[in-house]
Amino acid sequence: MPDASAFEAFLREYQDMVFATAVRLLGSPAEAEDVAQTVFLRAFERFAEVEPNPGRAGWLKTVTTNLCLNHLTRYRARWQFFSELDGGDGETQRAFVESLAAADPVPADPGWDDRARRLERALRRLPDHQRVPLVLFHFEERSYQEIATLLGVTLGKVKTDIHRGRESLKKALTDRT
Amino acid sequence: MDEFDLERIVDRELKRLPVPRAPRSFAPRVMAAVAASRPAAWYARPWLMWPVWMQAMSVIALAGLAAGGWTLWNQAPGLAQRANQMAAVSRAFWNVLFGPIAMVVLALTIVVTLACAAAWTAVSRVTFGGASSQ
Repeated sequence: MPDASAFEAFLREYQDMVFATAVRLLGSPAEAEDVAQTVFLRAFERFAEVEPNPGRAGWLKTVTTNLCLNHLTRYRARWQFFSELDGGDGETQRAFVESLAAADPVPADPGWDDRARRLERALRRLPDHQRVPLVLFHFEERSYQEIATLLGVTLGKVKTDIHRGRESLKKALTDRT
Repeated sequence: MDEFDLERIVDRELKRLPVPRAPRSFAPRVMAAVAASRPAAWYARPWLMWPVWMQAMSVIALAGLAAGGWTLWNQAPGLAQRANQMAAVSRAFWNVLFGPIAMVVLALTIVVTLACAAAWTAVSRVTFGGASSQ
């Protein structure tokens, strides 16, 4: 049975990293909390192996990513399907930018300036099929090919989705500056 | 702006973002879930997941039971004879002491039970106005 105080110290050390990965992949703080909790429960089950391992941060990130992708596949519509419906035309872009005026899911931490808050909000509001590969590319340092393999889609589709996501983020940033 | 510039700009902007922090309630929530998910006691788990020393003890106990059963089986003729003697004594006691009054006691029990049930129904109707039957 793992030592509870050692596990709590481990949890407090990595909770922000796991939560940040999950919230950026899922776009929803509530769902990210659920997934992050599952990640730490898995870590608790294998704490004797995970805790002394120098690659534990990487292990946590991998488990978080896999659980987030499972969550998206299971509980939300598949991005392949919606990506095919989404033509990426100007109408979609406009609807996306207009949706940014809605309730702010980004916490009002003092470390966040207005620009960062706007970008984070825009990132979370991207459709799953754009946000997930974009986050994997820019935050998790995955290659296009790795992302295509991980998501089970073509390389061309990954590039297209990431490009559209970047365009949306740029638009969200420049529209109000 | 070409794709390379767009990638560079977006990458720079995203990397400058602060790391979203887990809510304060997150750690207590996980610790509560961990406490709730602690494994069950060894005896509530399948035998294969028992501690090794308990598995060894259970094998020894089972072997003891088997040996006991084997010993009893070998002494079966003597035991059967003793059981017959006990049954004869029991029959004699029953015929002499309990047999004559058994039917009376049974009839009395049935009558008292029925009387109690009737009395309870009457009291319920008076008290609750028949609500008990609705």
